[in-house]
Amino acid sequence: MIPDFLILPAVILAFITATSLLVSWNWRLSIFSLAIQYVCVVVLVSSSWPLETAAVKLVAGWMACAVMALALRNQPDDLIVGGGRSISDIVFRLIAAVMAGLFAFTGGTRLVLWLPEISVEQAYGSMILIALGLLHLGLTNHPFRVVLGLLTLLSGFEILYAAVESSILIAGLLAIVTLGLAIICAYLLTAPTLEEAS
Amino acid sequence: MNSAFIWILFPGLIAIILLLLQNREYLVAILATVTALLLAGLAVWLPLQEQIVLWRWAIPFSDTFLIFGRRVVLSAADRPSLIIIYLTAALWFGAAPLARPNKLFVPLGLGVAAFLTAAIAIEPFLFAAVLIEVAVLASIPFLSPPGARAGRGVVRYLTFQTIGMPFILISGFMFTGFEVGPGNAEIVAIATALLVIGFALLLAVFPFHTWIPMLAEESHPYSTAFILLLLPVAVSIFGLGFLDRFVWLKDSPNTALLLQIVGVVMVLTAGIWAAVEKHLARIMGFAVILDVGFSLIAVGLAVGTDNEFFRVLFITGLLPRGLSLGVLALALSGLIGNVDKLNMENIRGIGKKYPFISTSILLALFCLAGVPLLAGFPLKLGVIEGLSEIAPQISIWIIIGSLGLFIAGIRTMIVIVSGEVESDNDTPEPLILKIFLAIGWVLLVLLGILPNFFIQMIINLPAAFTQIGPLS
Repeated sequence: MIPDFLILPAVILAFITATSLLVSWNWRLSIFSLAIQYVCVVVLVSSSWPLETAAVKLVAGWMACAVMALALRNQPDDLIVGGGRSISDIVFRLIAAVMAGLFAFTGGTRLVLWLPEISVEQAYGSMILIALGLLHLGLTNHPFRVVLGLLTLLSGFEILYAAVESSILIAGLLAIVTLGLAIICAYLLTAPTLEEAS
Repeated sequence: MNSAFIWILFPGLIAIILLLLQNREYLVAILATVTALLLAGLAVWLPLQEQIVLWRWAIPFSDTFLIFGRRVVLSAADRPSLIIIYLTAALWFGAAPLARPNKLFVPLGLGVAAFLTAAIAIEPFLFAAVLIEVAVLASIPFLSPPGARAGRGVVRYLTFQTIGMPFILISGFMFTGFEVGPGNAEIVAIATALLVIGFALLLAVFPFHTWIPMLAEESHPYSTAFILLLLPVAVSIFGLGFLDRFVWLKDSPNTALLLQIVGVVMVLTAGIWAAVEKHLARIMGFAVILDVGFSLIAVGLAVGTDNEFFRVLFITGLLPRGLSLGVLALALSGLIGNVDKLNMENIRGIGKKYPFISTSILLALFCLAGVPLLAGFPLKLGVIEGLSEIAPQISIWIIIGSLGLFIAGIRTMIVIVSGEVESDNDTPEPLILKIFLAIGWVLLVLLGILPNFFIQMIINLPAAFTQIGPLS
């Protein structure tokens, strides 16, 4: 069991990592943020599940990070991010992240009323990740960034769903989806060079 | 022996083996076609009893497979769905060497069929959303082949299908709280809204339809058509599970109305966009949206009027859609390599050079538009008649939608028969391709002229769909 005093810091850290994913254009920082984000997810999920079951999310998430990192390692930078970001872009993304965070704060309170099974902290954590994941998806069409957004969104959903569904099968299936997304991201990143290699 | 072994694990295993043999295209296509035909045949033939007697041996047989405390059930009611999935797969894999899609198409296509079967079989049925997502992930490599950058259509397809899954899982959980009857009105409204958004994302309902034409334009038409045919079928069967499970939802007059309105919006928007579209593969995408819209209206009518006829329309509508899409996709694949792009400018005058391909494109488009004497007509007429009886004002809109696709067909015909071919490529149409396309024409016309014969054949199959019929 994770101590209760870690839950609120996990929510705050989830917001920081999701914002970092939104703002950062360095893939190493993005992968690191995603890996930390999965730690936050496990802390929040462990309120509903035993720690050993919740650890499935961490294992799947870190494996996903490893798969994407391996694929990104040999890619030229322009294939990954398409250049750096301007100050105005970063400021815009930060403001958007703060607004999404505020939305998550108000939405989380309502969510507890609709789904009484979840705690307020879980509601905040999941809403933050869902809101920032959706925001991320709305700001990019690059495969790597899109998969980061999808993984963030799914992490938020998994916190929510863990509170209402404790099936091992669904935990396994969601882990397969997480890994599958990472593998597809790796495939989409390396696909342009695959034909030449063969 | 277990039904899950036969229809899920066995094709999954074959898919892995075929993946290893992917460079031997013909062998892979033959093996996959035989496997899919065998599985469709077993779905028809395999007796439903506790043991199967093979000569002297009696092999115990069960329709239930337990996994992590949950059940995977493929009962008699699921047999029609199995026949549809594996017969479609067999048809597509059989003609794959002619269409020459990506090498990954056949092995992963068989894998997609296995995952969609698992989605139909899993209990609780809600988990199907995750298995459909896994099928979507498996389809990405053949939609975005090696050697090319991922297009926006593929990325959007992945995004919309992935976002749809959580919406459905959460709404499904909320629905289980009021399985017997609706409780708190606010929570019911939220759960219903989440469910509608989830299915709108999966079924490409306006405004979430944009990935279909984009994907059709970027990816090989043959593999795209395979996904555009099978995915809506699996999602529809999954959606019908909701109506079957939550009786109050089925009995609510708003459900029928919502299905009909969503269907009309799909038909109308797809028809209008098709009418002004210049890319043939994108027109195919809009035609699929239009046809799925008709299916939703048929389901809405079945739910709203308690009429067996519309249930039959929904099921039988899959046959002309599959045939038309197959013919259209095969014909478009035949053009790849002979024209630069599949847009109107590049296909100008191809009617003289590729008469079989050109005729097939037109026949398939007109069939999907519901032109008389072709396969799509009797079923679309039935839906239009049914809707006009309860809402004549709305039925006008679906006629306009169909007219839009018909205009797209007329525009294509004008372009195909006028002008000269600009391409220097003098490759003639292969004989086998001509034979396949000619068989398609005959079936499209026969289905249109003798609809009752085929409808009677299909009516005997669909125990799986009884939940949307008289709603007993």
